[in-house]
Amino acid sequence: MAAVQVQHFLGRARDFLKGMDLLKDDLAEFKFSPALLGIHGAISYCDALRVGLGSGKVSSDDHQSATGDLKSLLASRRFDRPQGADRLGKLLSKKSRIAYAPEATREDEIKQIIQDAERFAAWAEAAGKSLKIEGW
Amino acid sequence: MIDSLMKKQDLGRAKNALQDYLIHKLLIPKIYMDANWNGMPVDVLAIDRAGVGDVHAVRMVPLEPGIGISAAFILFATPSQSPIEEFRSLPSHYRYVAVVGSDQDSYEFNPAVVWNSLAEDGVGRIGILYVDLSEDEPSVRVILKAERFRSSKEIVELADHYVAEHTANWEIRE
Repeated sequence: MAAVQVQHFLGRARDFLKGMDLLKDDLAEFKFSPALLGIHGAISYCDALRVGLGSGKVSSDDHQSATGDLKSLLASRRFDRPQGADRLGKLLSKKSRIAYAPEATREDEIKQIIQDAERFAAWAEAAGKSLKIEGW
Repeated sequence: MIDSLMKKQDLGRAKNALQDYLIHKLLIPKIYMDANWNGMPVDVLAIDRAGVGDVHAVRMVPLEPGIGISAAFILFATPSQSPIEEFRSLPSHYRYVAVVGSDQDSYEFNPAVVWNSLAEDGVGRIGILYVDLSEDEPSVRVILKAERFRSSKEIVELADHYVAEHTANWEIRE
């Protein structure tokens, strides 16, 4: 059952990331969309990892506790590269600002979010395989 | 001397164009140029999803000046001479032959090419790309869409080993 959920979240994560990828080359036209897709992609990767590592606490409104939960799950498996999870906290801290804040967002900030999302995705893909998560 | 330098530079530009094509097609891949893949030369090798996903292998077929893509199709449709034949035994999920040329011509698609590109059991088809060097910026066009070949323990182990031993030409670092 967990493997089905892992595949569900993983499918979402890759879909969001690909969407970000398609839009990121045209930041003059699309600025907030690729950034938000990148953040949501990271959230979905995190959900896939957490479910695959046995967390039963994944829900749509517990994103703020997600980083801590993921880190403790990785620690319980003695995963040797847990630092990648820190990038998730950084991305989550930008979510409301990108989605709702009225003030302008600088292009370099958007580029940083996209880069962090890509790096988090690269880390998550490698982590999922290395941890032999069922459904990955 | 100048001719050979230009040819080398053209092939380099074609490799870069193929790399860009794969970066956009795949998700955060690791890309290698001039790879030795299980003892076979591969011009551009991409391993999807940060090096843990499907393996994509591209071999280039440069055309001599004045020869258009229709001539390449005649070659591809002849099994004994086709560059596709050598690619059949290459262990990778996706395989592509990239025709590199600068002479635009129209062509009639030869159904024999499609037939020759298929795996014996039908699971997998070698894709054909055309790298157009006639414009200032090289572009890649899909002539025949690649279809996924069967996976195997051999492919997965080769990919894991390759990623561990080589530095990618393009990648998203963690």
